[in-house]
Amino acid sequence: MILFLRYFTFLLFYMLSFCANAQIDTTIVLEEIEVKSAHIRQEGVGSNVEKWDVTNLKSVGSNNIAELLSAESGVFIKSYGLGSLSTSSLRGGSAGHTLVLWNGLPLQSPMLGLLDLSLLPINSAEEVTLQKGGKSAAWGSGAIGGLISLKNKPDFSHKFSLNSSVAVGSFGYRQQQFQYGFGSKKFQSRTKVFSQQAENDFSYFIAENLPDRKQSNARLSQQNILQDLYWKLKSNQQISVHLWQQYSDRQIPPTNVQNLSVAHQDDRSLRGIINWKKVGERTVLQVKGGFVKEDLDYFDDQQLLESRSSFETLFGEFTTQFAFQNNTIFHVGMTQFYTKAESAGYQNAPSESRTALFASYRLEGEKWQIQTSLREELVNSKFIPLTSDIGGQVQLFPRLHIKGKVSRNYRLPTLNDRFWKPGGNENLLAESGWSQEMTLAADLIKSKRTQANFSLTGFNRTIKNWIWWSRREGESYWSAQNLAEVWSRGLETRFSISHQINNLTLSLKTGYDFIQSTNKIAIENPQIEAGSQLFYTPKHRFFANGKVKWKTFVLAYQQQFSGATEGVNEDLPSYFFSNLRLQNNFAQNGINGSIFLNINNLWDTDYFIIERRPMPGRHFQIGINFSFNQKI
Amino acid sequence: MYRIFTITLIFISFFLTAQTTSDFEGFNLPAESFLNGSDGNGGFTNGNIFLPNSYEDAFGSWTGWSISNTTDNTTPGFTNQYSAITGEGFANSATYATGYTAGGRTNIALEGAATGEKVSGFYITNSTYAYLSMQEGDSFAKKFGGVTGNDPDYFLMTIKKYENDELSTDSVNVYLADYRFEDNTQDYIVDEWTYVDLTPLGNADSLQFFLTSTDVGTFGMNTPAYFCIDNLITSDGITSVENVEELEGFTLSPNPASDFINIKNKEAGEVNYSIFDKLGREVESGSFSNENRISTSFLAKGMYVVRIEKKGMIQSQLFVKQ
Repeated sequence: MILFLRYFTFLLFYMLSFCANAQIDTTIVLEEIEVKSAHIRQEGVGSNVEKWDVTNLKSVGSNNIAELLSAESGVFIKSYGLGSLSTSSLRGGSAGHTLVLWNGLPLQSPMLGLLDLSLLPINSAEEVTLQKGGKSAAWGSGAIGGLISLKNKPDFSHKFSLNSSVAVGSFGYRQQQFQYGFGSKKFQSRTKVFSQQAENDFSYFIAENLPDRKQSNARLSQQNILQDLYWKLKSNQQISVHLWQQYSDRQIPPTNVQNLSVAHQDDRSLRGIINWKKVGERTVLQVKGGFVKEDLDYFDDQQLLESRSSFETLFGEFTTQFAFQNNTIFHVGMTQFYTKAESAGYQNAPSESRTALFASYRLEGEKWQIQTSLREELVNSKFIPLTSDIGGQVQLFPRLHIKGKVSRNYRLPTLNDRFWKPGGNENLLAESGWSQEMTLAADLIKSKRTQANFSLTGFNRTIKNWIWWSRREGESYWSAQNLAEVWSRGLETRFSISHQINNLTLSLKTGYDFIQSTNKIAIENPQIEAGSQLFYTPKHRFFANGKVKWKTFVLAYQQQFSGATEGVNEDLPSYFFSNLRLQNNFAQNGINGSIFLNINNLWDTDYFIIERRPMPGRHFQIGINFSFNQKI
Repeated sequence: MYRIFTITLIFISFFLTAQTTSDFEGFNLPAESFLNGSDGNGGFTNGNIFLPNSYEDAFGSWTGWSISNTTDNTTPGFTNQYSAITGEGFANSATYATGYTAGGRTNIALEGAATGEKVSGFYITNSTYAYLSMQEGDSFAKKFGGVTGNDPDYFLMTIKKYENDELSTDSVNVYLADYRFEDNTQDYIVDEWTYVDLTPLGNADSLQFFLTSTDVGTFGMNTPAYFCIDNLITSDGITSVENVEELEGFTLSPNPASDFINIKNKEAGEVNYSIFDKLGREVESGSFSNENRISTSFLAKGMYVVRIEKKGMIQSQLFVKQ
């Protein structure tokens, strides 16, 4: 705490010293110089897309992708606690129903079928995209609820760039980031080193007349090294290489009804991708190769448990795109995955080979677009049923768009679902089903000073062969079964407005989601009734982000509401949750920077996302960021 | 243990094999080991009982019963699933049986002379896995009492019987943990071998063991469904008072007794007497000539045997302490 105060005082003085001659941050990433691929596969016609560029990402006040999506887009994040496992539920889907891509490479563990979004630091990417809705025809397994895409992007205008930030906060939070880039108009290199540590020893409420309990064994230590290299071989050809090494050591805290935990989990990952692309007048060619190597080790010295698992995935992809006329684009590609995993939970080290052929076709007019995609995938010599989608959008009036999409989507069983001992079931089918969505989007105000828009989306989705681990009569162990059928439907509304008066910009982004995601088939064990809402899936979710920007100051307030959910042990009440961020940007002697204060859980709400897993009350983070760029 | 076993044998001998104690010692396990059904025999026979075991060869998982002499009563979690919290069997013996009621229940079949007869009772205690989970909580199950210590939690063993293929509605209940007391200092988790009197169940073909807990969710009971038993006493044909012939040349009254029994010797002569409990443990002894009033007020409720020796002739009779 003393250290925190010392940091705080130092940063406060620093901030004040800059206020006198501060300038608005003028850093703009010149993306247009990059050789663009403009793959129609990446742009979902008919569905909603939200994008955060590097400037947005710096100012959102989120530390990782889980926090970003929760605060900025209202995505429900199932978090086991501060610094603990966090997964997303998109449109009432499970954690495995969100596909996460890093420069086109799927990051989900093939063993668990999910990715811990809290392990993805916000500054690991220069662009984050959230596409809701079914994307399996384009991207394959897992893209049922939606797609999160992280991209690293070059800036060929920089000769030299430095970026550094430090932040400290409550519960022993420390974060350091250093970024160094250099290059020419033809070559760019960027190295990022990022680390964070936290004790996460927050106190939480037990009951009236009882002292708060302090969370224990919750330390997090994470280090990331990212290296991006970009060569522009010719004006229309580019090679990029991305390498990402990550270490994460986490203690697993006890539940609020557990006295002690000494468990800890170490995640190690090395990911790499090389990408060559050539953009012709009417063609785009792209070849990618990548790999992921991950180790996940779990230890519990008290229970004498040591569980080590690891996997390696090799990835290759070839895509090409032709524009026939000005209004027709055809995209075709092939992806190959090979995964091998090892774990004490498997009898033999299982492997999986997946080959997919996919194609997209787009036809567009001045005020409309139609796109359809097809995908056929071969998994260990077995065909997955043909997957397809069709989407379209029309500009009905100058300020009113309507768009919609129908898609078939699937998720392959994970390696644990198939091979875990006991209970793995090699004969599992992929979860699959159809989804439909329609969006009405209106630009309500579109003036130089004021912009306001509104959208309303309705969606409907059925997934059959939903995999549950179940204990069958007479069996001593749980086994994976294609048991459930889940019907998800809902409405999503979004409204945003921004208004500028001289040096003052006011903006508000708000959204409300109503999601019903219900089991259609009753299951005996686990005990699930037909018609019941999925666990940990709120029916109601609301968020509002207000921002006031005056000269160099930014004040941002985030409000979230999550409706009541049903947990596997008990029901969880609804809760409100708020964050406040104060930021001041500065520029002096060619150095741009910002200083910020985040107050998370501003109103000190006691809440649970998962029963027995306490969440922290009000806590603080303060930090400073410098960047220096030398243009070519 | 040896003494008890010997006395039980004597007891059995003069009762015409009246009772058999399944104490699991005969499996001759090496130290710190267990039998979990991996031999594929489908269970264990001991005395006049059969303890079924279902072993999944492909996965190495089991349900039903294991026979164990592991002594680890400090390591929490699944890796220590065979151990009793006492760290030993009943009365300092080595071996005991560990039950795992995956899916809700497990059972014990009565065999041979015990089939269709009464079961006197058995000793029960918590497994280390369940005990420490209830005391400390683990990543799946709650510590009993909850965050405040006031949750009225319990871990309940319910024993029913099958007789002529019919499950009894009557049951014997044993709280392996009980946190329902107003005064939290009275809350307890069983950590000793505790006798369970099964005579109220009456005659049986098999015993059914059900575990329930207040810590239950969609995936079933969170409290580990493990428990340990030892020294299960079956009766082999004579447990009901009316089946036992009365002492010849003596009268025993009242029966059932409360504070005393009166034994009257119809023909004069020195008589030695002993009183045994269900386990064959001598609880009282003495001698008299004509008539003797023996205090039974110190005895726990239950069934006892009085053994009379006169001129080298041994007779015995059951009596009930109310």
